[in-house]
Amino acid sequence: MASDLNYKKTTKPKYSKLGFFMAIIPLTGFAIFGLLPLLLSVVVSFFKPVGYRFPGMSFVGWDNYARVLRDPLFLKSIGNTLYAMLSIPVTLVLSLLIATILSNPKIKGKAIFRTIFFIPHVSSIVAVSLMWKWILDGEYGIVNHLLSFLGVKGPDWLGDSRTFMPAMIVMGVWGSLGFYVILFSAALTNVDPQLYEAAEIDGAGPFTKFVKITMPAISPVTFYLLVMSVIWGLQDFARFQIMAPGGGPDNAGLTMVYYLYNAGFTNIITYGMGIAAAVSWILTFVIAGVTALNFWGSRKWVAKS
Amino acid sequence: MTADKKQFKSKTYYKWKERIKLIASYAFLIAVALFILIPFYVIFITSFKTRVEAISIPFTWLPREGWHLDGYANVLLTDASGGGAGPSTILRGFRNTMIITIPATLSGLLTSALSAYAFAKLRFRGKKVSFALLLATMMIPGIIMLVPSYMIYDALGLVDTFFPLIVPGMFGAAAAVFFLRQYFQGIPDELIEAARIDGMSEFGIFFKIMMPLSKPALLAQGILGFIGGYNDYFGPLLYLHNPKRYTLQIALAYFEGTYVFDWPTVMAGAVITLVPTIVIFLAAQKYFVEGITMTGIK
Repeated sequence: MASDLNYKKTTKPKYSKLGFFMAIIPLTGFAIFGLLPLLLSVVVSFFKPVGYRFPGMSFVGWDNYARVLRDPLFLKSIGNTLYAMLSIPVTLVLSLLIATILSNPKIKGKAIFRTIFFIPHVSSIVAVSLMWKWILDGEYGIVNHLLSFLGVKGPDWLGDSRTFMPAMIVMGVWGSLGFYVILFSAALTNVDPQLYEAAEIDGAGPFTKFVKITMPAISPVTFYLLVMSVIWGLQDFARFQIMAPGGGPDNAGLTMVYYLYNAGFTNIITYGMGIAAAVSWILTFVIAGVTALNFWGSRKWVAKS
Repeated sequence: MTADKKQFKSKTYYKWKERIKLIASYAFLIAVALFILIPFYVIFITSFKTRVEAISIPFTWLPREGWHLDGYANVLLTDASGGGAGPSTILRGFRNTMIITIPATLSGLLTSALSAYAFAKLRFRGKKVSFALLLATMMIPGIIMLVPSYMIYDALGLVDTFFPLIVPGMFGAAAAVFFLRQYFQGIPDELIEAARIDGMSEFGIFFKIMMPLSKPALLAQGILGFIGGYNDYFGPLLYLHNPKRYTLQIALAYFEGTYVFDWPTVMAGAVITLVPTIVIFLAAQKYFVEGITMTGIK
């Protein structure tokens, strides 16, 4: 064994310059296409550019931030974004239930179910948004057709500010369920079966086993899903831009990134790139804050691996 | 007390309890599967209906007036950008998507793999620092770079070209490096050392030993990258303005405005857009799922 180690030391090049250059290709890419924009983004957020041009920007100090934070429409977009994120707890609970059922060795066709649940995850968000727009159509949509069997006259889901977001939440669950099921399933197979056997000997029922053994054992995966879906959820945009043109009924579909997109691209005359940059920084602080809060809270419930 | 009671229950009781549990499980799984699949079924069936049948009440589960291909004909033959002759909007969009996605995916995969190989198997100065920096870049939300990036590309005259959509991706992605590094670490050092003694160069080792041994991992990352690029909406939405340069996703998004109330055509466009990624997923799901779980569970 010791000779083996020596052998390694002599044949491995001590320090490889080539290795360094190979390793930093992605970092170089980031330095060129990420770092410069990142630094300029701070600058732009304190200026008022003319259109998309850097030359001739006028310094406005904190004005961009003040204007955004006083804009009721922006505050509304924060509310809308958080509202849409109600799909996260629903998806977490539902997918854990599905993964638990799929972990039962007596269930057949597991792979088929998992495959079906995962299809929305690989599907084009544009196609999926058009699909949901069609099935939620107030007059011809299948959702209201199915509701009519129950004697319910379904609303114009996407045309009414009260029903718009609940429909988007259901669509959100539909879209992300499969991804969660895959991760929970993998986590469940990694739970040590001896722990369950020991608990059974102690007379623990299925519920106790789930709460005392399963939940702590899979908590790192639950935490990963929670952190990532909050980060994604705060940046939700494409489906809202397609399904709520112009912001949707009473701006019920205006999310934070949608507001940013309008400020910088569709409505640049009234807002401008300075405002858009300020929004991106506010959004980044919200993401960082919520993620930090998530990590802080995780000390209480996530098992250390 | 309850334990005592249980002992008196017969074998058939447990048998039936187990059976009911199984039936309930299947019923629940099938209900969820229908919830996932019915929307897909509805667009599929709508794409074969006539315009009139698509908006007739009540909804028909099969095309009552026969299977019509008018929607697909519109999608595949009509240039909605007003050109008349030339490829249809969707086919041109598909071509543009391939021009963007294939080089970005292949080059990104190669550079990510080179970087991952260096981090997994080579020694060099600044390894820890550069790896930490690489991981740190994953934490930065892309949205902050958006505004100045657009202004820079505008100043360089690169807005409304494919450049912003292809070139940055060619340098590789931190997540892919992270995933491939894990995989490369599992390949025994002895193989590499033996090759080194035989006088093989580092690139030779990379291409002739590491790459062939890592096919599943490379495939997983390649597929993830391709599907991500194929489905990308925000990037092309910002940077491509001339309808001739629209990608498939942008072309589809504008479809709705072109074919107002023509649901069969819009849905045929959606079906055509969905089929490639779903087929790739079904064919390679083993690698795909592996790629997802390995990045999620470290």
